[in-house]
Amino acid sequence: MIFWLAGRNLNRQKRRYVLLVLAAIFGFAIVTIAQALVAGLAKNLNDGGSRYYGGHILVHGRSNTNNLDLVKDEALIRTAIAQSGIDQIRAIVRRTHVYDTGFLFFNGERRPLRRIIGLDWSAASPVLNDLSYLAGGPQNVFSKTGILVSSQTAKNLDLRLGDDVILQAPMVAGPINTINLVVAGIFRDASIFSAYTVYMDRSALNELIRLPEEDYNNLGIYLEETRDIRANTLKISQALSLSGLKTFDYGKDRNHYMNQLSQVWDGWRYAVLSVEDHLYQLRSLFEAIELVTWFFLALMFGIITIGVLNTYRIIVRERVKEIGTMRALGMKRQRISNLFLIEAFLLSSIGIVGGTLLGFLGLLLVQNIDLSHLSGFDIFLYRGKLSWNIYFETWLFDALLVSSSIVLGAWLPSRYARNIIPCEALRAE
Amino acid sequence: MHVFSLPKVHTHSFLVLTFLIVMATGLGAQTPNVARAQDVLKQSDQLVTFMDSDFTAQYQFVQDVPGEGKVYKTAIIFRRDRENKYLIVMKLPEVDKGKGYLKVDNNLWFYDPESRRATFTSARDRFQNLNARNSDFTRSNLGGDYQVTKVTPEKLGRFDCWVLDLESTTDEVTFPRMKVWLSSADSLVRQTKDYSLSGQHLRTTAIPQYQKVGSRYIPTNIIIVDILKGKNIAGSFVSEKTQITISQPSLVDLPQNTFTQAYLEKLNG
Repeated sequence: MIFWLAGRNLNRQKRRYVLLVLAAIFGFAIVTIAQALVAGLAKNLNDGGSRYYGGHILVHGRSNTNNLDLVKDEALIRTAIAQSGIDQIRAIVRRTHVYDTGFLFFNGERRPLRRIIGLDWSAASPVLNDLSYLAGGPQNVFSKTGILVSSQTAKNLDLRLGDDVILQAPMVAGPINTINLVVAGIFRDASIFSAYTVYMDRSALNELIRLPEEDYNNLGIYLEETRDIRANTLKISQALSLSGLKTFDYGKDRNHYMNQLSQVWDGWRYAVLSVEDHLYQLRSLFEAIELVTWFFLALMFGIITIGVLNTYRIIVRERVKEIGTMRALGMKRQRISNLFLIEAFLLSSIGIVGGTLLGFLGLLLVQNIDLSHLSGFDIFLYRGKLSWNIYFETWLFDALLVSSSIVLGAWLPSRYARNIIPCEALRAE
Repeated sequence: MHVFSLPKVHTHSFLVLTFLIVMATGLGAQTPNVARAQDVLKQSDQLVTFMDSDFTAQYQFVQDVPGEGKVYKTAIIFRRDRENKYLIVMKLPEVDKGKGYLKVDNNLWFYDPESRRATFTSARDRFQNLNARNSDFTRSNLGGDYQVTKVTPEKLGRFDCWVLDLESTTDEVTFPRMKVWLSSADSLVRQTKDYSLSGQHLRTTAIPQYQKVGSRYIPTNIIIVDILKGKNIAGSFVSEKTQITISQPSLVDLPQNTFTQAYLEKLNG
């Protein structure tokens, strides 16, 4: 009955409420868009970084007798990962890499490479399929001789699908080695993560740098959901430690691990790091953006609360006779107060539903804008465009916040309304 | 400047040199076997190594980049072979002036006068983005770093040569495989071809002429041809190459502090 009354009042007063509803819809839409985009940018950064560093979460093995980075206890590590309680694992991939010392030659041109990444094609295909290919792709790699290069590298070397290239890299021991490869795919990615990166078969790279076939530098864990990446990294680190492997302490970023390398230990010791630990400077940037978003959210809802407060004060004054009549007919004080609060709640519900729909519409429009020309920004993009993620928990929190602020705005006027004395109210002009 | 004064000549050095040349000439009659060729390679190293004095010279580099023109650079090189040290100081172009490379044992630093900082670099890296490598300036130790696997006679221009197929015995080298053309008359290296472990030909170095410094030899000209880098011009592949001209050689002893970062800093005022 009281909901019906509140709904009817809202409908009757819609002209007065329209601005308030529009403000709530617009405010909620802006907050939804901002948070979804920040979540999308963070996910793209994590996904791009995961291809660059070798996984959302990486297990590094280290021996300080020969300063080699190798993973030696795969069976134990896989068991520990399974026991860590992390679900939504997309792929676990072995990776061999060469940093900063490789060169790609074609037709007299030489291109320095930031990273040569060797992957087991079949295990890594879910990850490599995420890249946007201008030509070919992982499906073209049928043998150890295939190589995937970025559009930037292809442009610089004038490469086409099927071209024979020479890859040069120092062997683990130091002297130079080369391998002849065939371009099996050209992926579109000009970001710092991939522009100077090539992907090839791990066993072929091992052969090039003379690393035993079974060896690799790190075990990469790719996740479906990357929001709790650091919490999951800690879980795996603890699971490794519990399984009896020597581990490095998990700290606030990659430097925490690097500082421990000066320690002395026997055998192999493992570090578990997330892509966010490697990109800790960008993580700080995102934390700052999130803080700004929350500040904006608080500011907007503060304005809405004050707007609601003022509007309801006017409404209560205007409806003082109506309130007096309801009180004279026997409606209790609390029900009068509840009537106004429910009105405000219904108002906020309209704002939330409308704001969510408008936010979706805005996101659908924004996601089609091609931003690939913005150099330096492409690490945040998915195939050159913005992408977004709406997390239900975040949406629910925002919805509760907007409801609370509107209801809070209506609370004081509702207190005034409940205290109205019927005979005075009916006498009022 | 004292580093370019006339070289000191020692009598015993003449005797060693004469012995080496006589041995090399004596071997010219027939192709040596692999074990013998290894000895010849070591003797060849000795001919271009200055164990009893320091060595200083000016190196002029002319890099010919097909389709792009030429790049000119000049450096002074100080070597103390007995301590496995070298110091290279860039003189030209003006933008590189004062930059330096300091090698002490197996450590190599690059010094930048602008930042006044020295950073570790690799002997395997290209020198000043030319076709030479930082490892090309250290004393020759082919006989120690490589094992001869095959010897064949071959005529290289006007030189009767033995072609030695080499495989590295240490991981300190840049190229794991080499072919070396030693002239049978004097055991001097006339040409080398550098290969990757997989057998890819990477570089050819020709040394057509030597100059005598004291009792030893140093090349007058070195031509380094990069096999993988170049350009297709008029339908044929033209390799990028660097010609090095070595002049003003000196064997004058250098001050003890020459092979230090402090010396590099001092040179830059």
